Amino acid sequence: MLKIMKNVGWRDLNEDQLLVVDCHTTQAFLLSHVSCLVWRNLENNNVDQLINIVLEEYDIGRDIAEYDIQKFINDLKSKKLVS
Amino acid sequence: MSLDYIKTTPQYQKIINEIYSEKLDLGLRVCMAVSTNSMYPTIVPGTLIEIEKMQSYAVGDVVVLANARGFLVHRIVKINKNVVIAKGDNNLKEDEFLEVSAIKGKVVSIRSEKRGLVDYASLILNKVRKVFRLLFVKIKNLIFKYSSVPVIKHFLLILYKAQVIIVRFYFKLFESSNLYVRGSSVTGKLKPGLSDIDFTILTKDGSNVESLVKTLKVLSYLSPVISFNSFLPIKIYAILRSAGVIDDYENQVNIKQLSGGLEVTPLKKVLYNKKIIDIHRSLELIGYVDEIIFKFSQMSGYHPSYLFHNIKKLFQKIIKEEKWCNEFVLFEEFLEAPGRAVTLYNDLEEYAKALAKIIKKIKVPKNNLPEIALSDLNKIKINDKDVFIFSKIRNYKSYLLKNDFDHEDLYQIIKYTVDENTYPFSSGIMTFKMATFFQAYYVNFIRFNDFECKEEVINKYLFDSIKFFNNYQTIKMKDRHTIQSAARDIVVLISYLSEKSDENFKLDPKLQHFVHELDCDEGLDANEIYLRYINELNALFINHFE
Repeated sequence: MLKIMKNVGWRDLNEDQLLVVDCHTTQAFLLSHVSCLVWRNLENNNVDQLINIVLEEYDIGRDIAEYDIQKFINDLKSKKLVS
Repeated sequence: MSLDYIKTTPQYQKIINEIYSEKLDLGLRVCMAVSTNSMYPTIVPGTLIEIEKMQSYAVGDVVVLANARGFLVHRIVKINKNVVIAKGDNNLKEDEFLEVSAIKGKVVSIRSEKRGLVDYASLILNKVRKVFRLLFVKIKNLIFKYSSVPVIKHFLLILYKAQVIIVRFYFKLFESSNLYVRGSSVTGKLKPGLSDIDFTILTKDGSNVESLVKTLKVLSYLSPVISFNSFLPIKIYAILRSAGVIDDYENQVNIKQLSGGLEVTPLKKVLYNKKIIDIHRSLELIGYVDEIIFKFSQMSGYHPSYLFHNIKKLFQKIIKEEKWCNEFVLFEEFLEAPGRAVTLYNDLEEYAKALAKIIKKIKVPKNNLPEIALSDLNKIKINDKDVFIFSKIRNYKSYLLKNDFDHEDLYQIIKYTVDENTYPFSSGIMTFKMATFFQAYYVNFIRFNDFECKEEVINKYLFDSIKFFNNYQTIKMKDRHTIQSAARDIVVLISYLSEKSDENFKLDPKLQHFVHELDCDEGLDANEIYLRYINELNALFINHFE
């Protein structure tokens, strides 16, 4: 399971948007829609569970969801927002 | 699915600051980018600093402080267990004091620094600029001193005209875009450290009218008459006044001197009418207390230091002007003493109440003159410009309704204001208090008198009140009194229209809904009206104005 880094904070802006702030790099990121959903469930679910959560909400193929979520997680890791 | 970088716009800055505070409170070390040059050359803009929360802080520490506007990185110059005063190394004056709890953390290291030759050059230029600024102030003061010399007089006149043309141009440009002006910092005072324009002009969509601000900033350096307001058209004056862009040069300097010797004879006639001065004075004194009490009532909505600063200024003004120095010497010392915390506000409130009692003993002169024929007021042309200033209503409507008032004097003031298209008073906070007073008279006049353009005036006024009410709500204006007053005006006028039996009166169709759907009760004060009608008014806006 993934863990949000200590130096990273976040806030919901609304149902479809949230703001993630890295208090070390001072970078701020805006997440929306699917990425929001993934982020909110990040710490309590493994990748498979995240895929299922997305599939429950969005009408897309499993392979697309898998690809997108994996890419998103890699992106988060590369930016050191999660470990 | 994307991870988008965002710029830290004001929209997000508050949330980001909250996150930073939370992390610091957890004992984490965080980084921030410094964007301003207030700590220059210690910290160059663009530098990444590391901050950590400490058990205690000392003079000389560079810290991150939270004030009403957000975070700032400044150096502590004074501190005790309750209060801290900080200052940017590059600033001329100290910040307003803050509670120690405003310190978010200490700058413990500089992680990266962007310093180059340009920065060193800037450092030198900055020093030169400070000297130049001081010199410039001296020159400006000298120009004022010799403003009666024809050449200087003409020079000032040209500058003034340029200023008015530019302001008019900008105003025309933004006239149709629901212009709002917010902020209260003062400029044009011609004193070092106080001449920054620090306000925002907003359009309804939130975009800043930066070019106007910049132009005025330049003008404030070029033209000594930026602080002169009596010849500005009312509408422009109202905007600039409320923005704090224009301010009295000095309280006791007369208008002619301020204007560089411009012709001010008609104004004199009004200003030197003793009765009007008495009325003005009484209202001003009552206004100070109202302002103080109002600020107390807003205590929870503002940062304490902001409030304290304003309250202190008001008290000092009262003390100075009324020569109550002997009685209040201790109080002045009390105000000046650092380290006042929570109990300060309680004490201040007691003083406010005591002062209120004293000031309210000064009565507004009774109406000893025969009442003026109100029909004479028909001669006054009422247009958009007047409506704008009249819309700045507050508390005085009820005052006018309950007290005797010298109609002759008020008539003279209104008439002059309209005829000359100027605003005859130049006092600080009382400017809009007086406008409020005119407003009360104005509303009563249009309700109870017949005149040629009555339909047009009522339609226009009601539309404007509705617009202001709606707009104030849209921008979530903190000043509830203004919203309440707008609501009150709507209700009072609608009440009048509901009772009106004249079928020939052509009311705008959109307003008909208000008249028919709003069950008005005029016998309520502004707050009661606001609370009672807020939902109905909002519903009507949505149904008929959106």
